[in-house]
Order: sequence, then structure tokens, then C-alpha cells
Amino acid sequence: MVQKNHTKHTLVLIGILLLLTTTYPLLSVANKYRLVAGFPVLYLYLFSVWLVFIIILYRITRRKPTPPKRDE
Amino acid sequence: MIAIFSALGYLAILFGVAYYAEYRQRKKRSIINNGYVYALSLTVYCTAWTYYGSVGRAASNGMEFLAIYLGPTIAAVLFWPVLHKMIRICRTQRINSIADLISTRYGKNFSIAVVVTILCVVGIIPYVSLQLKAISSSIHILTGSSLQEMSLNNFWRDDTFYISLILSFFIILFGTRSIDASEKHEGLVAAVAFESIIKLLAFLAAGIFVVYGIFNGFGDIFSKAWHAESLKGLFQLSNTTSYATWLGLMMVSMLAVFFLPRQFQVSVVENIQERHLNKATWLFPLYLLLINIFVLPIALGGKLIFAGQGVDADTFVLALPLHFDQSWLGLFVFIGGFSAATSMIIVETIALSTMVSNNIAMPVFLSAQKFKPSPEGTFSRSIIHIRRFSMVIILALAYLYDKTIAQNFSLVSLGLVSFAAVAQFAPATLGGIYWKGASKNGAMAGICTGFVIWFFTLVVPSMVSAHVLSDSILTEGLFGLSWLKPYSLFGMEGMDSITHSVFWSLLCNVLVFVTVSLNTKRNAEEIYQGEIFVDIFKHSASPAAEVLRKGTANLPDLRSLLDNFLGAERAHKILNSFAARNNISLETNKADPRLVSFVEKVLAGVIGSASARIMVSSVTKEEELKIDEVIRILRESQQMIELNKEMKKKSTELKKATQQLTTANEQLKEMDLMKDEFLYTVTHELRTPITSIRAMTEIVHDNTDMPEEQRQLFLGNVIRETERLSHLITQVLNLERYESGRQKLILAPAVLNTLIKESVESVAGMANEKNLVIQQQIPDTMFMIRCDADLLMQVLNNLLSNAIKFVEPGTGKIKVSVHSSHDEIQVWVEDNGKGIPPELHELVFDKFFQARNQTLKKPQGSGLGLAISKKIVEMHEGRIWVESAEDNGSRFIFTLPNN
Repeated sequence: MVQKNHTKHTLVLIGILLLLTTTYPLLSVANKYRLVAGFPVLYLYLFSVWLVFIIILYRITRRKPTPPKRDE
Repeated sequence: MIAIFSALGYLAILFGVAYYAEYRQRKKRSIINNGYVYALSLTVYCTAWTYYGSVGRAASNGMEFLAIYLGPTIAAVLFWPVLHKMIRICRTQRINSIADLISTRYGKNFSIAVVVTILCVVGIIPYVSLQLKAISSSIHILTGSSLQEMSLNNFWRDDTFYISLILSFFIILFGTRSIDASEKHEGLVAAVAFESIIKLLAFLAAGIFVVYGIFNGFGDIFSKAWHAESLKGLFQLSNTTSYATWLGLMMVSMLAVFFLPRQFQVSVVENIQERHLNKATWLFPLYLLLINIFVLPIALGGKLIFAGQGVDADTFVLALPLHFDQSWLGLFVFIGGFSAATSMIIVETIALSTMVSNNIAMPVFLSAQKFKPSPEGTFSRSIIHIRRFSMVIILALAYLYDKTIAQNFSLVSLGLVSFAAVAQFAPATLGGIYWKGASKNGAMAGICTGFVIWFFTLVVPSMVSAHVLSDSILTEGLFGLSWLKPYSLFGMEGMDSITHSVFWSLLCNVLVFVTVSLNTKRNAEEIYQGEIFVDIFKHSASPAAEVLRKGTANLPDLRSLLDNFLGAERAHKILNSFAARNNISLETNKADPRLVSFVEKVLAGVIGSASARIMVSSVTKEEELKIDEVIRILRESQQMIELNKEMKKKSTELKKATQQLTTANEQLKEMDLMKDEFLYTVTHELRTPITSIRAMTEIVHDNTDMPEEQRQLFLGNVIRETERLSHLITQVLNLERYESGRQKLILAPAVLNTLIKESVESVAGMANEKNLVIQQQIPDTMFMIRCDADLLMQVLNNLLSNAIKFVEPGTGKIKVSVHSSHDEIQVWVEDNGKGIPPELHELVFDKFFQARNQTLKKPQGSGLGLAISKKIVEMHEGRIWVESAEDNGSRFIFTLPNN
């Protein structure tokens, strides 16, 4: 239970971080009219942040498999 | 025509998938019982709006469309913290819709269920009609015919009409197979997961074709668009998208993932195992990411290619392949869009129809014919008919909306209106599962406030555009009041209509919800449900918490109630298995309270919790539930759990203590036996000298004329016996002192050589009597030891006098020697007496060993000497033992630590 709550708290923290990185003011860093490596900088920024968070989520939910519940 | 046929063919395949899944479900080898299918089914979130509308949105507002998928990603992060709790609640309470969830939380209240249902229907119908619109317009693009808006008057010539008809047939086939709405629709979920794969593949195919077929990769598209002046704005958030809008879209789409009826259906109602959330947490965002990668490139590509041709950006995905004569790809893309639209329509209609039938139609139906136990099966058939009827109504409404109002809006703006509508459930639901103080009145007031503001700020303007209302409302405000303009309520400016609406409606919703909750009294049922919901993880572990119903019901009544809704056979099976699980007798006439709440829960799965409550109440004589009673029941069940835990701990402790007690008891018994023996031998030993003293004094007393010599002899004997007696008593007392630990050692440095010499001298008299010489073999080294010299002398004396006693006069030899090693000093006392058999080597150190072995030839002595010696040596942290063979003398050895 403690372990599981720990995962839940980590997830809430990740949610907050995701919200911070994808909204104003941090978003304004990437919200520019510019191409980086042939990609619009905002496009590149949002998709890479997104992918990084998905990888983090993948690792977290894999690391601690929750024991199967009794289904009634 | 080919479009229609391939759509029909696709539906047939879908039917096959669903049928196969249900076949496997019956065989108990479910194909959807895994995290991947669960995650895929969640992507019913991506509808025709995503498929066609995102590109349209990107073509006008740049990257703004992405907020609608980043929001759900945050929601996915919160699957474990939030959705897990909702799933657990709905499973234990047999809740099957969002309306049911809210009404159950607030005391199974009817009116709140009705309000939520109406809001859902009003809010979602446009969204469903949007899907119909997308299907019909994609057919027209595929066939190249111009999109003619059919008026309602000649609907029989309208494709959309037939599509709706076919879909309702399909939905009825799959949505109402089982009477129990809380039961899993495995076929449905399998079909949705299948559709999710199709739409993703089709969209990716279109994207790859545009990026690599028409252009030369991402770099090419972006650099060409870079040079087109008109597309400049699309590379970032456009001017019309403020950061507030961006945040607002993220929030509202995040809430939509939890509260849209179709999301609730697949993520909560159809969830098979809670641990599937693990996969969904990362797979669902990954799916969203994949389906969005090509959105901006397609929008830019379409803009570049169709520049100035007036092609609707919503159709770029399909129009681009067709423009380059890729008809097969075009067909595939059409099927992808079709699958995105149908999956949404199917799930949404099923979810809405459950709500409508349970919360609106059922109560009307049940009150129309006062419930009477009637022949089996009638009710269950009626329920299915009601649900089917609701499905048709919902689709018909969507069709009507499509034909009348929807024509004027783009896909995305319609969808967002629905998102804003369902966001109104967030305060009541989230408040309900995390805050015990949330009350029914608060929830009701909050939802109604939010609903009114949503309606005014989003629906009223759309009615204005459809010319239902005059547009003076938009420009001058309601009743001419300038602070009541739908797009700038209270004069707030600078936001787009959706963010504006969501801001005001949610703000007021939350404020009213909290304020009213804090200021109203809650009834017992609300308090009880609040406890259960907020602490669901504690309560779902304890069955005791389920006993709440106070009231009496007759078992036959309950039975016929279940029979009517489930059919006799199933009702019988369910009741029996529950009774067997909980040790409830079904023979009695009066029903067990647990059985009453169980029946209510089962019925809730079929007809919704509010209706179920009324049905069960109709057959129970219910006593009003007092608030303090609710609290008592809850507290008791809570205490039970804690008590249980403590009991387990205590019981292991108890077991340990018992074991300790048993061993202690055995020791005590042994000691008791030893004490008895000891007392017996002591008294025995005491009696012997006393008897002889008495005999001799009697002789002296009786024979006054005894010669003086003889008298002296007798009196000498008496004195000797008295001495022996006092010696014995001293020994016993000493031994007792040593054993009880009352004797303290007086440690002082001493020289062992001297002690031995003194000891030998003190027994020299005895030795002389038997004509013996005691040989000493002591090294020249001075052995300094810390010891209690008097006690150690006693040990030496005992050993030496024993040796003297046991050797033959004249021939006996006794030797004392000292051997030392680095950690101990050994003192050996050897004799050449008759020796001790090996089995007695340990026994000789026991108290009164001689006395207990009367068969041995009895020598002189108390029989305590060795026992005392042993005790003294042990007090000095040494050991004492004997080495001997029979008829070969014996060697007593004791050790002392060498320091």
C-alpha cells in the first residue's frame, strides 16, 4: 500500500511537471517563429516533451507492477 | 456507391470482431482482458473530430489543436490517482454511468440523476451529430458529388439518414444483449479497440503519403510553407490563441477524458482489471502522439496545394490522396474516418441510452404501472425495449440536430461545446470522491449553475447563428443588459468563446457547489455514501460496511423482485451464490439485511441506483435511518478492520508467550520434583544421625549403672553424630545459598600454590589415619588468581577428602597437580581407588547422589560435597568434571580462568 501510494504521488508530481512544461510561461520559450533542424520550433518542442513524458510514464508504471486485484 | 458498400462491409467486419469477442467471453477465454485492448478502447476519445477536424483546426489556428491531446495526457498521468478510485467505487456499487455515479454519491437521489442525464443528452447530441456530419461529408468527397444539404422534408434521399438507421440497428444488436448494464460488453470493447487500430493506421497512411508521397519529407513541407507568407501563423500559436485559451483547452479536454459518457463507459464501466491502468497510462498518450504527428504537415500541405481553391480544411486528409488520384488510399482513409466516427457514435449512444433509460424512462415506466410481482420476465423485456427505444431517440435527435443547427459550425467547435458541458460534472464528482462534506444540494446547485452558464454562453450563440434567436442578444446582451452578453459575460473580454464559457461556468459551479455544501445539512444516506466513496479503498476491503439497510423485507418479495428484472433462473443463481458466500440462510421468511442491500445493488446494475432504491423500498418496511446510526455503523466496520489487524498481531504474540509458558512450566515441574527429592533425602539424612543419637542417649539414660568407660564411648558417639548433623545442616544451607545466588564471592588475589599446600595440610590428619601420602606436583610458577580463597579451599578439601575416602588404606595413592594453558588453569586430583563407571560421571555432581544410590556401599559424608564444589567452581567461571574408568582410579579436574 505504501509502495502504491508512492507511485500515485510520483504520478501527481509528473502531471504537475507536464502541465508546467506545456503551458505559459515555459511554453513561450518555444512559441517562436523559427525553424530548428527543419522543424518549427514549437512543433519540435511539444512533441519531444510529450515523448519524454510518455517514456517516463512507461518506466514508472512498468517498474512497479501493481498486484492483481481480487475481482468480485 | 462504392463508399456505401465498403462502409457496410466494414460494419460487417466490425460485427464479426464483436461477435468473436463475445464468443470468447462465453468460453471464459476473454480476448479483451489485457492492458493493450483497454488502452486502445480508451482512444475512442479520438473521433472524426480528431480525424478530420484537427487538420481543419491546425489550418486556421496553428498548433492550438495539440492542447486537446496534451490535456488527455495529463489525465492519463492521473489515471492511477483518480480513475482508479472511480473504477473501484463503480465496481463495488455497481454503477454504470456518470449520472449514476453522481446520484449514488449524493444519497441515490433521483432529481440529480435526471439533471445530469439531461445535461449529458443536451451536451452530447451535437457531438454525435458532428460524427454523422463527418461521415456524410466524407462520402461526398469520396464520390466526388457536391455536398447538397438535404432538407428534412425529403430525408429518404439523404445518406446520413440511412447511415443513422444502419448504425442504430448495429448499436441495438450490440448494446442491449445483456440486461445488466453494469455487465461488461466485451464485444463492444473489442470492436472499439479494432476501430482504434484502423483509424490510426489510416491516418498514418494519409500522413505518410502527404509527407513522403507528395512532398519530400518533413523538412520539405516545412521549408515550403515557411516561404508562403500566409502560413506564417501556423508555425506557432496563432494570434487568436492566447495562452489562456491554450490552458483552457487543455483543462477542458483533460476533464473530458474522465467525464464524457463514452470515456466513462470504456474506462470505468468496461474496465476488467484495475491493473490495466498501468498500460493505459503510457499507451493512451502514445496513441494520441502518433495520431497527431502528421496533423500539422497535412494542414500545411493542403494549404500549399489547394491554395485559393476553397477546399474545406476539415477534409484535407481525404481530399489530398484523391487529388493525386490515389483512390485506394482514399478509400482506406475514408474507412479510417468512418471507424473513428462509428466507434464514437456506438459507445456514446450506449452510454447515453443507459442513462436515459435508467434515470428518465424507467422511473416513468415504473410509476405508470405500480410495481406488482408479475409473471416472470416481463420487466426484463421491458427494460431492454426501453433501452433500445432510447438509442433510437438519441440517434434521431442527433440526426435532427445535424439537419438543423450543425450546418453552420466546424467540427472542432461543436466538439468543444460538448467538452465544456461535461466539464460541469467535475466539481460534483471529484468533490464527491475526495470530500466527505460535499452535499446533494451543493452538487445540484453547482451543476445547475454551470449548466445555465454553459447554455447561455455557448448554446444561445449557436441558436442565434441558426436564426432561432435574434442576434441582438449577442450584441446588446440578454434583455438589453450589456453585462449579459454571451461572449463577454460580466464584461470580460479577450478570450475565445470556449475558454470564456468554461472559465465562468466552472468558476461559478465550484463556488456554488462548495458554498451550498458547507451550508446545508446532509441526510443519513448522503453521509453514508460520502464515507463509502471517499474511503472506498478501506471500505471495499470490509464486507461489514455494506450492512446499512435497516428494515425488514420478506424474502419471497425480494425474490420476485429479482425474478421480474432478471428472470427466475438468473435471479435464483445470483441469490444462492451470494447466500452461500455469506452464510445466509434462504429458508427463513425474513430476509437478512445484507441480502436486501445485495438485491438493491444487483438491481442498480440493471436499472440504476435511484430506481433500484425505489424498487427495493417498495418491498421493505423501512425504518428511517438516523444519522448517528450511520456514523455508528461506519465506525464499527472501521473498528472491525483495525481490531482484526490487532487481533492477528496479538495472536502471534500470544502463541509465543504460550510457548515460553510451556517451557517454563516444564522447568518448574522438574524443579518441583527435584525439590521433593531434595527434601526427602535431606530429612532422610537428618534422621539417621538423630536416630543413633537418640538410641545412644536412651541407653545412657536407662542404664545408670553403666560403667564409666562405656558411658564415655556412647557420649563420644553422640557428640560425633551431633557434629555430623550440624555439618550436614551447614552444607545444606551453603548449597542453598549458592544456588539461590545469595552467596556473594569475595574476590581477592591469591596464590593457587599456597591454597593447595594449605588444603593438603588440612587433610593430612585424615590421610595419616589411612596411612596415605598425598603427592603434590606443582610447577614452580606462582599461579596468581582472583578468587574467594575460603570457597576454593572448600573445593580442594572436598576433592581431597573424597579421594582419601575412596582409596584402600596403605596402598592408596593420591596426587594433586596443576596444569596451565594460556586461558585457563587446571587442577587435577587423582586417586587409584575403585573408579566411577562412565554413566555416573555427570551424576556424581548431583545433590545427594550417594543417598539416591543406596545400593552402593555407603561411605561417610553428606553427599553434598561435589554438588557444592561444582557450584563454587561455576561461580568462578570454571568447569569441573571427572575422568575415570572402573577399577582404574579417577581424576577430578576443575578449571579456573587464567588472567
